[in-house]
Formats: sequence, structure tokens, C-alpha cells
Amino acid sequence: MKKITVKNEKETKEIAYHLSLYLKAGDVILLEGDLGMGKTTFTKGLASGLGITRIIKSPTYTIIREYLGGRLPLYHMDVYRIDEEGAEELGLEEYFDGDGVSVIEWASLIESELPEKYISIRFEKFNMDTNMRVLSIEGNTEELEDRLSGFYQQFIKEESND
Amino acid sequence: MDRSEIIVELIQKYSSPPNLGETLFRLTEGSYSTGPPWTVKQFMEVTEQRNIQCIVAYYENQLIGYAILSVLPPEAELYLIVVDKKFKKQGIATLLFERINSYLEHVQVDSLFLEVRKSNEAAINLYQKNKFEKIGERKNYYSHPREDARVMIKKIERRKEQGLSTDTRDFMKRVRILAIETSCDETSVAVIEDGEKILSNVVASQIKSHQRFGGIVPEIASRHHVEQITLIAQEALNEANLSIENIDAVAVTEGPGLVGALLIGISAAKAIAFAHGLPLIPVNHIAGHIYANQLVRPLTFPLLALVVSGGHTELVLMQKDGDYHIIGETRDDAAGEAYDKIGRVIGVPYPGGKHIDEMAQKGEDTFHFPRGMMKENNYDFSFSGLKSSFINRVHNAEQKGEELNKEDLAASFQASVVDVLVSKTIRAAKEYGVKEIVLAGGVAANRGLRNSLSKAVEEQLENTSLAIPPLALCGDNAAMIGAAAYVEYKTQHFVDYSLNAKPGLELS
Repeated sequence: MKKITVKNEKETKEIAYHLSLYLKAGDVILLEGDLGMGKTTFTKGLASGLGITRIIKSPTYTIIREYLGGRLPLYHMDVYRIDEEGAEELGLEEYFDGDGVSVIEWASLIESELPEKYISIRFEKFNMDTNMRVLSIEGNTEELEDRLSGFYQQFIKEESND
Repeated sequence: MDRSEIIVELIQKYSSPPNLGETLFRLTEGSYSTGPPWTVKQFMEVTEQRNIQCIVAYYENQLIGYAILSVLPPEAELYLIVVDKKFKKQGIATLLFERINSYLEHVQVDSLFLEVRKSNEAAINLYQKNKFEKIGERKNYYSHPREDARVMIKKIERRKEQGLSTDTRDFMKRVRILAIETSCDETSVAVIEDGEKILSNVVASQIKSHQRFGGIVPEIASRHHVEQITLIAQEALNEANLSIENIDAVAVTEGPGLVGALLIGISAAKAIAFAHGLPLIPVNHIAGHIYANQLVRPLTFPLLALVVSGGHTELVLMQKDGDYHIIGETRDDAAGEAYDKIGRVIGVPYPGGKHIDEMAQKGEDTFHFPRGMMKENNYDFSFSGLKSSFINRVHNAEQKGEELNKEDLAASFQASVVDVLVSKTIRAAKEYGVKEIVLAGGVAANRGLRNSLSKAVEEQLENTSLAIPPLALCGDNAAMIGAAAYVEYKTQHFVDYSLNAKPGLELS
């Protein structure tokens, strides 16, 4: 588990932007954190790193939003309102096995539907500060952790500050 | 004979002459060397089908020729064209072809097909003279006697757009559309006449089932729709005092929305359209919200629509019917979604919007939350910053054990949302010089927004009227889908049964 502290939304986007450069087709990223912690903001940064120019809107209402036109397609999901059976009906595994990157907000609600390999990112407040956040990032396989090592090196200094 | 006395016209389904089937059969009898291809009964059945058009020529009140076509834009097929033996070689067929051409042009057909017996040289010559070209053959297509068919095509060239032709005016005679809406958590079916009159509008809400989950649950939504849809459709017809035979088209929301929910409505619409030979019209849900206002009074163009709902916050500029330009939209949360989310934070039941609005009436804007993007020189919106400030304020208070007045919180939140929506709408209305502002979508029911927008339009815009839908038409309903569908009906924008749900559909 690597921890990165960010001061504001702009830094959240920057971290996401850099992370996106290490992603490839079929990657799944789970975002965990309360309302207003920056999950959608993070996804905006990720999309911009993938070269997607469209506005990334909240997927809460539509559950899934798809963005094509970047280096990889981005599938942005918010499963806050569905349970595991609902997730099964939505056919999420087709997205996970697909040609793009899937980002799932509130993923812990559909645990049994999640793929075997994923990168999880938890968002927490830093010292109760209004804008600062601690992002805990981890790939759950060796391959993912190896692939992300370059990314970790860029930001590891901030980890030691934590 | 005097050719100016020949009348060529399209038979209207409402007013087809009695015994049409029999008349056509008799005429055909004398004209086909191989005998009429259809029986009297078949003529009757075919001409009653919705996608079949019959163009006839009269001389001295006598039917002397006709053409029967199957029309499914952008394609049509000429089934039969027959001229009375006594009137052959007098240009009747050409008159019929001219009429066919102008009709097909009008309904936006670009290719007309036909089949003809390979040996029927006279007919082939006639078709070639009327610009048909051979594109293929079908082996042993005909029986009695067995023979190959030649397949021919004629390309219909469209003239520039012009005013309403006779065909359009005929089409506009009391058009009744059965409309279906299942994009989210309401199952609704309506019957709308001429795009403006509600004959019935039945809405079955699922809000109670969703309340305990704090939001829409897609698979619950789909199950409810399945259970409800046929009952609601029947109820809509009963309330309108009509049977399905009185319906001219079936319209359905194709998106945006939840895919499973949309599919139920679309499947029902396709089944009804197929079973009764009715045209199928896909409608964008957002266009529906805008056209909800047409059910109150006609829209005035150019207009600016502020569409605000759980999934949308958009400013849409319309120069004319069916023409949509999004000039601004939310960059993160929709306004209605922000209401639901902060509702969760202060513990009001789902959907949060209505409760926050009620609380806001009793409170005051004491927290001064930020007005997202209000000063920026564009028409986009952002509510995520407001949401974060709101949550932070509540959490900070919780940590300090400080009690916040929930009514003031609601009023402050609402003031921020409404300020931004109203100021950007007024600014855009001035820049584009619109004649009317239309409020649309679920959040149009919000009293704070209705009041502020009315006041601002009255004070700041001299020649612009404001249309706000009645509360019953603010939420999702099928009446608005029927109103928007009428615009598509007039331009004959029909689709086939490959219609599918488009959960991410955008207005265009």
C-alpha cells in the first residue's frame, strides 16, 4: 500500500493524470471514499491523461458513462445505488474484459462482481483539512505493482511525509 | 379525353372510399394477362395496413388507375401499378408516377424498388421511361407461370425544403400518438393528440420501492416496468376512450436513462407497433422534457430551454422544432443529483430535491456557499464545489459538536444552485435574443427555482416570455414524449424494429 498526500483538487487530478500513463486495456480501478472526497475529480485527471477531451460528468444517475476517443476507452461507473445482483444484470464483466480502463466508484458494494485483478485507491481526509486528501494506492497483483513502480517512484517522497 | 380532368390523389386511411378492395380487384382483373395477383380480401387487407399507401387516378369519378406502395422510409416498394385497359397509353401511368415521386420525396424515401416479370417488356419499358434501373434478378420469383423477376430501383431525389405540402397537411389531421416512457423509475403511457392535447397520461411511480435504498435501483426499476407496462398502456387507452385502432403511431423514449429500464419501454413499443402496423418513433427524453411545455401552449422560437433534472443540467437553444443546440451543461454533477447527494448528508428521504425545497422555504441563506462558475464567461455549470463545501461545513460542525440549522442549510444550498441557474439562463437569453425561456425537467418543480426565474425574466427581459410546465408535467411522464414525438411524426422520422436503448444518448 502506497500513500500519497494531495493538497487540493488540482493535485488529485495531477496524480490521476500520471497514473493513467501506466494503464493498459482491461485495467480496473476501484475508488473508495465518502461523498465529496474527489473520486470524480480523480477520474477527470485520469481521463485527461488518457487523452479524452470530453467533460467527465458524474455517473451517479446513469450508473455507467463511456468515453471514447482517448488512448484507451474509459468506462466510468458509480455503483452506489446497486447491489451485487444489479451489478450482475448490468453485465459489468464485459467492461472489465474489454478494451478500455474501468473506474468504479463505491466498488466495495459489489464485491462478488469485481474482477480478480485491480488497482484500489482509497480517499481519506488528511488531518481533517478541508481540501487535503490521502490517497492509498495498491495493485493487488505483482504484475500491477511492478507496472506502477515508476509511478510510485515519482511520488514516493510525499509518502515519507505522511 | 381531357387530361386536366384526371384527378390523382393519395388515399387517406381515415377516408378511404367504400369497397376500395373490390374496386381495385375489378380494375386489376381486366388488366393483368395472368389474372389479378391478389384476391379481393387481400386487396382489402393490404390497403388497410399502415405502411401501405394507395395512390389513385380518377376520371369522371371513375377509378381508372392506381398504384400500391409499401413505404418504410428511406425505402419504398411499388407493389402494383395498374391502369384501366380503356385508358392505356394516355399517360395515366406517368401521372401516377409523378404523384408517387412527390409523395416519396415528401416522406423522405430515397429508393423505390419494384419487381416485374422478365418477359413483360411493355411494363419494363414503362418503368425505364420513368427512370427505373435494373439492379438484379430473382430466379423463379413468380409462379403461374413460373418466371424470373427483374428487380428495378428508382432513386428519388429530394427537392429543397419547402412549405408544408398537401401530404403534410393531410397527415396532420388529428394525429394520435401512444407514447411510452420508462427511462428511469416511472412507468408511464400517454395518448396525445396533435402533439398538444393530452387524452390520457398514466404515470406509475416506483419512488416508494426505491426510498429504502436511498436511490434508484436499476434492476428493481426494470422489474417494476415489466410488471406495469401492459397494464398502464391499456389504462392509457381506456382513459383516452380509444382503442388501439385509433392510434396513428407509437413513440418511446430511446435514451438517455437506465439501459434495463429503457429496454422495457422500447420492447413494449416495438411489440405494439408491430402487432398493429403502426410507425415507431424514438424520442430523446430531454426533448420530451422541453416539449412538456407544448402541452400547455405552443412554443415560441427561438427559445432557450433550461433543462434541470437528476441526470441533466443543460441550456438548450432551439431555433425551430426539433432543432437542439446545447450551449451549456454541467461539468460534474447534475443539479438534481446535487440535491439528492446533500439530502443524503443531512438525512432527508429520497428523492432529496422536494424535501430540500420545502426546508429552504423556511430557512435563510446564512452560509453563503460558493456560486460555482457563476462569473465565468460561458454557460456551463458545476455543482461539485458546492457539494464539497456543503459536506465540509456539515462535517466540521459535527466534529465541533455544533448544531446547524437544517432549514438554513437547505436555503443556503438552494440559493447557490438557483442563483447560478438563473443568472446564466438570463445571460444566455440576452445574448441569443430568444423569444421564450422554457423551464424543463424534474427540478422545474422546485419552487425556489420557479419563483426566482419568473422574477428575473420579468425584471430583466422585456420581450421574452417564460414557460414553466405545471407540476404534473415536470417529472418524467409519457405525455411529454408524445408531444415531442409529434414533431418527428410530421417529418415522418420513423424507425424500424432494430431500435435499441441508448443510455448515454445526447440531444442533437
